[in-house]
Amino acid sequence: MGMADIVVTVWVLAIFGVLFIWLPATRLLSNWDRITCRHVARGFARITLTTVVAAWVLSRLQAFNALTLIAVYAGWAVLLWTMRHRRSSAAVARQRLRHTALKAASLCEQGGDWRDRLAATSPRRLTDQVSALVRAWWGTLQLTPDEVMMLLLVSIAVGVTLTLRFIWPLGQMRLGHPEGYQALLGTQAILAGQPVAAGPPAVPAVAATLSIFGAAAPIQIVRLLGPVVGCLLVAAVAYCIRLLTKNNAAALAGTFALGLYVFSSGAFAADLPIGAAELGRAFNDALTRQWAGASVEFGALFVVISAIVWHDAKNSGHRAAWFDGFACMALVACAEPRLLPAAFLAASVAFAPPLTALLGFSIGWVLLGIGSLELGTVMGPTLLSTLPIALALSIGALFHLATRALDGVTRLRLEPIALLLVAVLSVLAMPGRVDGQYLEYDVAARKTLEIVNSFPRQRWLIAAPVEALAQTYGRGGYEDLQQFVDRYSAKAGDPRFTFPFSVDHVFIFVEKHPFVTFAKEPIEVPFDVLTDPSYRYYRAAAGRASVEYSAYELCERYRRAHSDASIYYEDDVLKIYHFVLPAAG
Amino acid sequence: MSDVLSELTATVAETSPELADEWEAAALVESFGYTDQAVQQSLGFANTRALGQHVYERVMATPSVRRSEDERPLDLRARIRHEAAIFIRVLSSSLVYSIPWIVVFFFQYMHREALAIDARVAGPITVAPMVSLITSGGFIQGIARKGDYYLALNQPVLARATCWLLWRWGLAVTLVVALAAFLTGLYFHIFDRGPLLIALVYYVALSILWMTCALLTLRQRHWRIPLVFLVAGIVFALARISFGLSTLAAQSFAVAAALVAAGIFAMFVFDRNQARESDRHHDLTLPQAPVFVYSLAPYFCYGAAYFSFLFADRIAAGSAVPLLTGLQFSLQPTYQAAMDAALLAFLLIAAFVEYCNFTYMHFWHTEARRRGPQEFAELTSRLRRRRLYLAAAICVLLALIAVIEWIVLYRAKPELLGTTGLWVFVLGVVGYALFSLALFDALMLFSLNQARRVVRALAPALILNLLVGYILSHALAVPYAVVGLLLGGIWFAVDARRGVRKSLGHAEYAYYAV
Repeated sequence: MGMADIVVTVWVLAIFGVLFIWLPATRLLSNWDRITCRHVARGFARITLTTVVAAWVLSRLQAFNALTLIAVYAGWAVLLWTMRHRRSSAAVARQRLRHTALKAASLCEQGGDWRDRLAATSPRRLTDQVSALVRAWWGTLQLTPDEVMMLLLVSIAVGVTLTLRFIWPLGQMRLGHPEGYQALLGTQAILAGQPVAAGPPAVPAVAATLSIFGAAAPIQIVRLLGPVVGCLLVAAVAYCIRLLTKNNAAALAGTFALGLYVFSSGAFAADLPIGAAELGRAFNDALTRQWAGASVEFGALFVVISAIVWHDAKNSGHRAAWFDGFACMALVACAEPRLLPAAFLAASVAFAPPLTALLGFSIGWVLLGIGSLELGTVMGPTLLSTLPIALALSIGALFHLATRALDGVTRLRLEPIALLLVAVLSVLAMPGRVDGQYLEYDVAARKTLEIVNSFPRQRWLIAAPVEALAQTYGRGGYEDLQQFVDRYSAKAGDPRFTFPFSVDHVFIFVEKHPFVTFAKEPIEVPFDVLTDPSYRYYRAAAGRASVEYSAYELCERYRRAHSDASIYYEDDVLKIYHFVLPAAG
Repeated sequence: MSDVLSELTATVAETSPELADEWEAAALVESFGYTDQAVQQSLGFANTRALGQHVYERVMATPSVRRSEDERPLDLRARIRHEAAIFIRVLSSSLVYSIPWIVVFFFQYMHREALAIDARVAGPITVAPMVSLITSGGFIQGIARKGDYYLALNQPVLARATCWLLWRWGLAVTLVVALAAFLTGLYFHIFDRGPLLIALVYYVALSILWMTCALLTLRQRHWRIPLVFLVAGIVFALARISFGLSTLAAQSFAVAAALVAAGIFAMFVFDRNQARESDRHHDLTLPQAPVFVYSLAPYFCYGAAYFSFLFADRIAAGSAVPLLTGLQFSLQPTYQAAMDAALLAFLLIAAFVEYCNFTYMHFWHTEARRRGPQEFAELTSRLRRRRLYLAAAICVLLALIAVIEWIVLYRAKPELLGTTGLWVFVLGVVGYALFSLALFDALMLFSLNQARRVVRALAPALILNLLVGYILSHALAVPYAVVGLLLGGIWFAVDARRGVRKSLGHAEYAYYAV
């Protein structure tokens, strides 16, 4: 992991935090006087929906860029300002503009004095503000043994949650789950002004927006969005339990369950009779999704947030809260429509008493998942992959029920003991090893990104396995490696032959050691999968080896016959050939 | 004393031949700087009211004093000569800016392929002059207005100091904007690095050139500006033909030559002896910055908004490039040719609009002096009628220019314009016609010291132009960007007309409020 990767990660996370968490909670884009976690959740839902809709529409209009996005957010702020000041909004705006202009002119007239004054007072003012905040927070802390234990357990939960989700993406440029490539392709489609090709638009729209504001490549955004969504999911589950049970310990129990991902333990092993051992496979797949998830996890996040928001709507009755609730449902539909049953479930139980609502929601979601798998519906696999989230909610709810029921049975307070027990069990049940479901070498993804960033747009073409399509779409040309070999292998050795591409540079990715997708090749493969070109040429080890060898022969023949061929990059596993074509047109 | 009194009476009579009452006379006397004490000591009256009473009686008793030389009846030939002289003077001061652009336009139209630049560089270079005019437009207005104002007050040293102060502020703003554009362009990958740098250099150079040209227009020596562009044209021709340089290189040398020529001329705009004298004695006090800024702010905003309006449709059209082409900004040749032609017609008619405003305000001034308070209704009616005639003349002349232009251009290169080009040209001409009418009203409002009214009319028109043009060019097709210009022109024309109608409704107040 290089310094550049760290810088990009920190920057992207900062942009995400500012744009999706901080900005919608400020006075600029909201009318709230007091900010709580509920308001942050609602603000997150609002700005995400605004971003998704704006990105889709602007992309359709071929006008998707930083300026138009800023105009959308500014329009929101202006609308809020106008509603706040009503008839006097124009007069207030004129007065403030006039005041600012005259103040600026005065400052210019004073010359260097104002700069010296500013430099002298700003650091002192900032120091005073920060120390006042720290003193206020320290004053509210009550360091009883219970508080200390809670603090410690929260630190462990947060620390492990972050580690489990960020440790893999930080070291790898390649995406950790096949669905990530779909999200990446959708993101590139939106950036290229073709949103219809993007499929469910929520994740691609958010990723495209972050790519623009963060000035980071889409692949960087998609690989970092996975762990961010994973962490937000844990936080949302914890807050949902806390809100509906008013019990911090129950919330922490749920956090341990999902944050430390206890579902990969033997208790959920693949040999359980449910769904022909499909359950175990789903849990193992969901483990990867904790840090490499895309649309499904994003949709699940808003299912949980919707439960929080509906609770708020029920208590406050404000129209804005109802709007936020429907916004969450719209986001679930935009991210992963197959999760809508869970969203409807959250809405329908929200108006029951809080604990009943939480139990109904969590257990209902579990039953939805298992039930749909048993019934063999098309939503089965999707709902199943969100089962760990539902189970974590259930664990929190059951923890609360159990501790309340048993409270007073003995003289000892059971809650801290139960929480400690849950923490220990969670740590013991943590996954010992987490592997991504990679489809390519990390260096192939890095080199593709390097080519995309270094060469002018649409003036180059890459011939590589199918994963490269998502990385190059909209920025340059792409040829499927197997088709490339099929078409040009016979002619490559002819000195008079040139590739019929209207670009300046052609790059061919040849794997010296063909990438192996499966640790163990499946013994039985359905016929439709077997005949799929992507599986035959890139997932099956033998097929991939055959294509790569043919590509190697083609490139060597071309290199011998043409002087404008060179090696762009070579290491133990990968060799990238670079052919410079004669000027097109 | 009697000489002083006679001179004072004559000055009052010349300023306002039809005094309303003795209070108006007293107000005029006080506006000349006379206080009660000064009047007591120098003229022997008790106070300015008593002096005003005396002056009023003398002026109303002597009709010959009230009539100035200007109003003596002229014969027809003298009148025609007088009008022609004004026409040529006003027209030439406006047309000097248009002539270089007209020459460049025809040259580019006839030799488009020979002057082509790589598409990746052409886009940013097309944007650079537009943005340079937008950001320096406000400073150009400020330099021209303050310079003319202080020179008319016979304060050349103050004129020099304020104009060069505005020039320095303009340079500082240009450099800050260039730096911000560079960082933004790099961060958001707006253009490739090389073309971006070239465009920014062009932007800074052209901004300095426009502001320096604003200095050159002072003292009515407008011939310096065509000379600057002539130098640039010669250098371009030499570089391209004699030395065989590329279009980009030749263009760059031409801009540099124009800058050098403008810089040399600018050193002689003001009297260097007076400037040296002032610097030595340090006796010059500039206006306070907040007051300066407050007085110039409406003109500054107008200058920026004016050029923004002219180029908004091009910016919208140029940005509507499909992302898959790999280009970020590129104008379609047909659209560019059609709108350039429409803009050419506008530049020619803008000079005529200035002349119309000059004659109209002169007419207003003459009529107001001739008529008393009981004839204000008649004054208003005559003003409205004169305005209508001039507006009609503007429209007819613009239509004539447009027709002639189309015939010439279409015959030269029919394949470039075509049916789409015709529609864009027609809509563009209509849009600029509306803008010309609005400009006529805006100049009138400027003359009546209602600059803020103009900015309040132009700002929403600009937003409408940009928004509609941007959305339609992206959603439908590039040529639809001209619809934004049309709608913006309608808004500006209607709102400016409303402002003028309000002023004409109280013509006497509007005139005397100046």
